[in-house]
Amino acid sequence: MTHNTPDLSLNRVPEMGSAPIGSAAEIRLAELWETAPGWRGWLSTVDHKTIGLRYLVTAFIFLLMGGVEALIMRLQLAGPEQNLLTPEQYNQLFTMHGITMIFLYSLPILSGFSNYLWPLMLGSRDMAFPRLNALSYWIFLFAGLFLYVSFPLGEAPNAGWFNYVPFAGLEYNTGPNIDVYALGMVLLGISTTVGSINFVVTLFRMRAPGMSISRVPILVWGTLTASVANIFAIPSVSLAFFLLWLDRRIGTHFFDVVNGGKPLLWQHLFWMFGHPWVYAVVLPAMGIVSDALPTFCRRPLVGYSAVALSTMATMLLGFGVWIHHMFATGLPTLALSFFGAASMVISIPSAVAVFAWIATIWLGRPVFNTPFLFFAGFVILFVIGGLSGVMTAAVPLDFQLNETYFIVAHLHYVLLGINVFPVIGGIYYWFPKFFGRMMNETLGKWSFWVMFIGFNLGFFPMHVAGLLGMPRRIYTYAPHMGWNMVNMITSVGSFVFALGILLFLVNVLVSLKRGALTTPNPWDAPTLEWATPSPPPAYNFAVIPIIASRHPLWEDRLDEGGGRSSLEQGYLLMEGRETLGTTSLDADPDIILKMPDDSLAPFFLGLFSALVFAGLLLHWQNFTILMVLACSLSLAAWMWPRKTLLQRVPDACEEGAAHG
Amino acid sequence: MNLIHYHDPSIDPLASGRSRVNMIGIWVGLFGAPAAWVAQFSLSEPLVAYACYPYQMPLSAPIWQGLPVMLAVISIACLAVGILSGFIAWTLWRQFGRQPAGGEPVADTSVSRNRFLVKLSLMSNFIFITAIIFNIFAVLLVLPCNSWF
Repeated sequence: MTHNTPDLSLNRVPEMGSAPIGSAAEIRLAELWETAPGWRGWLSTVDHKTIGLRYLVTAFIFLLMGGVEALIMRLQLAGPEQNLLTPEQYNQLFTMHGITMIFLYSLPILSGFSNYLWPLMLGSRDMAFPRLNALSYWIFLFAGLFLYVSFPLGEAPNAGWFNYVPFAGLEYNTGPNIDVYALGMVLLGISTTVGSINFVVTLFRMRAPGMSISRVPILVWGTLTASVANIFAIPSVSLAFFLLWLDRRIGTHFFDVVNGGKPLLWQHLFWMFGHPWVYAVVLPAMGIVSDALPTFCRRPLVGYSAVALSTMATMLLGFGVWIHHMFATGLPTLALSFFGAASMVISIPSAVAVFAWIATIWLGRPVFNTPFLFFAGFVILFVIGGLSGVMTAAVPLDFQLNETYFIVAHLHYVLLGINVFPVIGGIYYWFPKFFGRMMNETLGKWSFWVMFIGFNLGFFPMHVAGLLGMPRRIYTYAPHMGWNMVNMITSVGSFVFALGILLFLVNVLVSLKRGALTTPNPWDAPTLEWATPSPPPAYNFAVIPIIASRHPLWEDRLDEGGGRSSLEQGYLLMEGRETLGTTSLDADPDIILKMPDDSLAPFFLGLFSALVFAGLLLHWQNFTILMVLACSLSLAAWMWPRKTLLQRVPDACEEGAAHG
Repeated sequence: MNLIHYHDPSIDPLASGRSRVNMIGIWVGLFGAPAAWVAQFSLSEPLVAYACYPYQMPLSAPIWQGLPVMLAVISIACLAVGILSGFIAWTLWRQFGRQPAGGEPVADTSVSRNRFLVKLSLMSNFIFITAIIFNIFAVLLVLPCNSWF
């Protein structure tokens, strides 16, 4: 959002007051912020809550797709010399499984939580750039469809999710498979980048007055850190895939050994992105636990500052470990040692977080609800996955474990344990806020235990398979290798885990229809999102609250010394869609932000962007140019100055314009 | 940009020159050691990589005889910056970290914010000075172009 005449347009002193439910002010706010009904409203909404739920649902559908792919692979590997899949089908399945889980599920699901929760946790009426938020979702959706479009045709990406050259080059992979992956990833990178920028600006600009930098929830720290990392990491992978596409279709030689290209360049570019990404997909999930676990322990998180710092330190160190994915490439030994050292140091901040969670449980009075079980289970899985990570940080041991199932076990403990368990726990926790109904506790506990047992049954034996020498990415194995039993146990475990997911889905569907209606704060939680009705109204907060502590809803029982937050009395901003901009460190009121209305422009920009990439994939030059023009028109419509975004006070600002 | 709500400058440390110095100190304390680690890492690794593998074939010894000295100088300089950053953070902690007499928490946002940032600085220095030392151990214990096998 820009302001052409800030000196004139921002002199209005906002009115303070209250706007109880049903009052004229509250009704006016609802009129201002609600999305129009019908398909036009559905496509044009910029409500962060709707976008957040769309992210959650879409990413979960991708999780189910990736899960079904995994189950098919586990059927193939349940016994030796099975013929359920051909080698090429297996290649495409494990590649799409990786792409789906890593890129289309693990970060987007966390973006869903953050999109829904950030403005509610921060005391704002929306994200900083609502239309950019909508664009981020639409491009994510279209990129996901793009990546899957060649799968039914048997031409899906097939070189593994990290897509090493030269195998991914044109010489060895002549079909469209890799082009789909390369272009799809560049497209997806746009979504992630704009989404990340939105999160960063939102944190530093949209917090409620009084929510100083020391009072923001850990989920916000986690998503902020991941977003900053993405802004630096995504260009690396987008560049890598773009260069690969140039090699394949334009004839350049960036990765072509015969013509002086460097295959290791691919690995560097990919893993410079890849390892920070691993932390980007776990840190917000760790934030979910850090914010929600205290609710069930009836006490604040132990070591808030330490956990916040460990989140940021983990991310920064995460930029110095990428070569631990390349220990076996023949790089000089001392160069590897630096990365081994960084990979070990990173266990310090991780351990800080683990001890903070354990101390919170130890010093609290735990209530064993379903979300607590998922969060406690997460801590156990985090420790197991973390320990195997430290093992592989040792260069000599990594030489032995590289490309074996031990690595597969490690990455699944990390990605499922640190992402899926907090995510499912987070859905149980915030479901009442999302839909105004509680989830079923009995089904919830069943789903946890089935998932937890199935997960460990499925993935722990993979460590053993790796130590027995079973390589990754083999579509079958001979019966005398000694891997039969561990593979059978793994396959059984994976189906048990899937059954747990199925129970969770049944619980979601049943609870949506029959769940008990809930109050605004059914868990007696401390953070600001629980001050709003369940589900929250379109405008989030009738008045922008004034925050005095880290736990605004627990101030009566905790004396944190900041006085009392004002949740009923606050800034009344209702001359159009408005919210308050505050200063970056102390969240002092600074500016009235005029927020944009719903618009079809993000949808069409996302659609036409995807079609640009479709044109490139199909070598339709004229179509591509046409779609670029359509993108330009969409952008013009988006940026077109509108009177509704003008500040009307004082009159002198009529000449100015603002656009969002 | 116009403020629509003002803090009393007399109670806002940012309003004074002294508080500006404090804020600079806080940022140095917060980012000094991480920056030193990034510098050590970003200088040492490419130097070693090039010295041991300059063209198409790995070498058994670095192309520069002075490589260990260069690595030592980089590490010592970065460690010194890290320690300086840690010292600044410690000094600020003595200034901001103390609770006021009587143990009453302070309501002033800027004071609690400074205390929080200084606390982060201390922890940041601990982690990243450790990381710098880990890298120094690598320089001391591993021959640059040696084979693992």
